[in-house]
Amino acid sequence: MAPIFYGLCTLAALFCAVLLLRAYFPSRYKLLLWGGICFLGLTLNNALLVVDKIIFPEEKLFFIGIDFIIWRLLAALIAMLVLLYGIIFEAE
Amino acid sequence: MLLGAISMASFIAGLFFLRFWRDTQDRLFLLFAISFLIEGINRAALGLSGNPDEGRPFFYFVRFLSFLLIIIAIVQKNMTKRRNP
Amino acid sequence: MSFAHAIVGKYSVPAWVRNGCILTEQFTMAEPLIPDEVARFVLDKIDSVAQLEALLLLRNNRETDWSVGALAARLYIQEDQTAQLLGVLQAQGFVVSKGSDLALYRYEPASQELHAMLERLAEIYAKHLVPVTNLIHSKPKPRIQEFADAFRLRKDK
Repeated sequence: MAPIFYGLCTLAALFCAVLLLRAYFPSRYKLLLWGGICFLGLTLNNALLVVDKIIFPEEKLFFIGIDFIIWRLLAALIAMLVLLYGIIFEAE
Repeated sequence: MLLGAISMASFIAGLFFLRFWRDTQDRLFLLFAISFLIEGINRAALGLSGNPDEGRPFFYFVRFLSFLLIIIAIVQKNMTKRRNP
Repeated sequence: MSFAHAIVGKYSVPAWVRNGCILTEQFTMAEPLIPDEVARFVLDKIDSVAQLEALLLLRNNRETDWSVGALAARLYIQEDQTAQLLGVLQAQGFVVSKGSDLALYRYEPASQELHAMLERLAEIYAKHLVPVTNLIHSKPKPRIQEFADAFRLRKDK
């Protein structure tokens, strides 16, 4: 079940990223760029989660794939930091 | 912990979206705000639960809900665009 | 000067703007130059003078399909700004995109109502340019609105 839901989340995040980046190019409003990058990061985060759940369907992932978790979370963290940067400095 | 940082960042983003909603009266921002706030709670709960497994139904369901709110925001934005450009 | 505010729709604008007074030494309250419904139309739909000028230009040349470049050149503004306001006009139902790659725009209002309001606005704008531009500039337009607008899909999608 989890991969399905996270897969849908991946698609939703990708959709948002596309819309934001598409709007960025004509208007050059920086927040759209940072927002788009944020959603790309969230897309990656959720996509990696889907992969994770398919390869490691059980809960015991402390020894296997610990690095994988860190990459996943880093993607989400960087995505959110990029969004916050954009909101604070570029939102006008 | 990374989850704590992500959770905080989500919360803060959610608060900013609340402010944008107040400034523009655009419902999209309200829905984005709620979406990021519940994701913040979700990540915090995951971090506090001691077991970082996101495969459990509660967590994937809340994540799905938060994205569903965003999709609803986009849908409603496009349904009312004639009245509220 | 009186700092009274007039409420037009969901906007609160200074009374002197609402009544369309041209600034002279006396700030007298004149009869509204801009009727309520037209003022509401301006505040709801027109975000900038450039947008209004673009819209009127397209309307005056209804038979022509305009490209972003041609329009930008006529209006003396940047192409990216032109593209953005054309996107807004299209989402509002004033113009449609044409041509094989949808890069041309033509005035084709989605409803008779829109067209009628624009005709009235055009008439008033021709006679009282400054009051109309004052009204447009009195509307606060936080740029963050563009973030929400990014999620508007095109009409033809």
